[in-house]
Amino acid sequence: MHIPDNYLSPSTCAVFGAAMIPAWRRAVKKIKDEIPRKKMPMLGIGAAFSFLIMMFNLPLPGGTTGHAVGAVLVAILLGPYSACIAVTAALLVQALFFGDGGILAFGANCFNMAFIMPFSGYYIFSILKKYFKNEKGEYIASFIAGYIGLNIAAFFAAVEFGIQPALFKDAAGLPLYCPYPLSVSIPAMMIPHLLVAGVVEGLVTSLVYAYVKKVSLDTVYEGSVSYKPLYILIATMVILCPLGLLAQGTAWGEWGAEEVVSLLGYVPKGMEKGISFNSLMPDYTVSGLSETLGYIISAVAGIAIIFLIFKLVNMKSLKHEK
Amino acid sequence: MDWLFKEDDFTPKKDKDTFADKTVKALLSAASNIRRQDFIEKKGFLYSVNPALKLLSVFVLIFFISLSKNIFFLLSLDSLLIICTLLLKNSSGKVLYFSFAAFAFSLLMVFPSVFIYKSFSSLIIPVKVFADIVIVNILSITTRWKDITKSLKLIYVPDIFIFILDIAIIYIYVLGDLALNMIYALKIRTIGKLDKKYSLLSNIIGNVFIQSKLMSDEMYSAMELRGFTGEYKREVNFKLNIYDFIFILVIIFMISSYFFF
Repeated sequence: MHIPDNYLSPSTCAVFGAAMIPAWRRAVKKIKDEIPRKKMPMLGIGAAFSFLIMMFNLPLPGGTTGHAVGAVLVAILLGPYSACIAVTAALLVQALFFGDGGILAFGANCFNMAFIMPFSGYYIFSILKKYFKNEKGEYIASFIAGYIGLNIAAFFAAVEFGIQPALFKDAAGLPLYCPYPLSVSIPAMMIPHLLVAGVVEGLVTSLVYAYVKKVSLDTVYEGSVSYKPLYILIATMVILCPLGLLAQGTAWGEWGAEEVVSLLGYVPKGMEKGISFNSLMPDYTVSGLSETLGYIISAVAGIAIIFLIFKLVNMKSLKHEK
Repeated sequence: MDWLFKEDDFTPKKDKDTFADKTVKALLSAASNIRRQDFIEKKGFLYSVNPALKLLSVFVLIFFISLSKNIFFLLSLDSLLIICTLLLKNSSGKVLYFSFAAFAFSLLMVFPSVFIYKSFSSLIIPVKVFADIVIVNILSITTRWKDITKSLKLIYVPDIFIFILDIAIIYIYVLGDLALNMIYALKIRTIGKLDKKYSLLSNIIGNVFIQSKLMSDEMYSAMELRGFTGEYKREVNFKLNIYDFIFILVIIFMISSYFFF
């Protein structure tokens, strides 16, 4: 997952470095408010801990080994803000002293592994924890958080790789940096992460969490976090949505009748007339607007609808409790 | 007493323990890299150059390498860097080994793109990766890490973060040693096949975490005892000597060749 230098253009690196600055500032501020001075050395030691997690090689089927990133685990154990700073420090030590991960690409690596991964993992964990009340459920929640957190981070890395050939070409139209488009980089990154690395990450997250909780419960982070960064995360995803336009082909299962013909050779009878319903925004575009803007507006509208549904469900369950 | 003379019919099941060996190797190599810092002597050209200057030139060189599209510039830079590495005391073999490994790995990753674009243009990436890895390794071998973290002040890294980095480097060694001992203990007590490898390794990681919490409390007490008030100030020294000026000339030569080629 460590992106080396020269695979991303310097401008991409600058963008991600700039994107990390508010995240770091907020994390430092939050830590200063939240953590007593007494706990300050813990951040440094937490950084050493998250560095060491990556040193542990775990056996994989077929005799090879793989390692976990551990960002979700650190987020669950120390809180997401501390994890952001600790993983950043660990990544800097790796980039500067061990040559692992690029120096220019440091911002992008931090964005994936010190921001996206711990925060998404932590939120998934804290949301799932509410639904799984018992102890076993908590361990399952931490497994899912580790699994999804790693895969989201890998997805971001894949997108960063994949947009390079579309954005940075030389005069002959050949790519200057990472040569693989999204259609190659996403499957190449996601298949191993979904099948193997995610499982390793989930297992390590859940087993270590279970151990620490059993042996010394009071060391686990018990803080309430605001969901504001979650909204920021969703907003970023909305803005990144137009990237979908760069990807070739249609999403699995979202075929039109012509594509079904090319896939199956014929159109199933039931689909001939019936599958298209008139949605408010056909093909995710709003008429009269540019495609990209339309894409963003439909994403915002989609999220608003989902939030509305959640709100309604919540209100209903609250009434029920009363 | 008869049972003592009976031959036991016990053959332990064979097991692959590459995961333990690899972990031990990774931990040892991290630890030895950190330990090496204490033995860096300020003798030899690259060792005597101001650390802040070295760090800045690393950033500048990596930036120009990333921008360059000229294979001749990159190849001549690579060969110059190889010569620099060979001049290092006793660590040159290791640096070249790592750099060539990174080169080979990068080549393997990029090579299929030759068939997509029917052009060899992307093969420039491994050449760049090689130069970057050599540069970072030369920096980390010829400079004490605490001098490098201190120099980060030049690019406005806040003191609190430098404090975290300094502690992290020391505790990678301390906690790594702890983890190593636990893995050795596990290894020498294992006969035959080791079941539940995942939960055993996870327990070791969990144990390292709990220990690190305890250590951080102890460390704070020790720091407070020595007058720590929450402020951590590192001053960066930017006095230049004759070596530094020669070094600046070399770097300027390298960068100007970027424009010249």
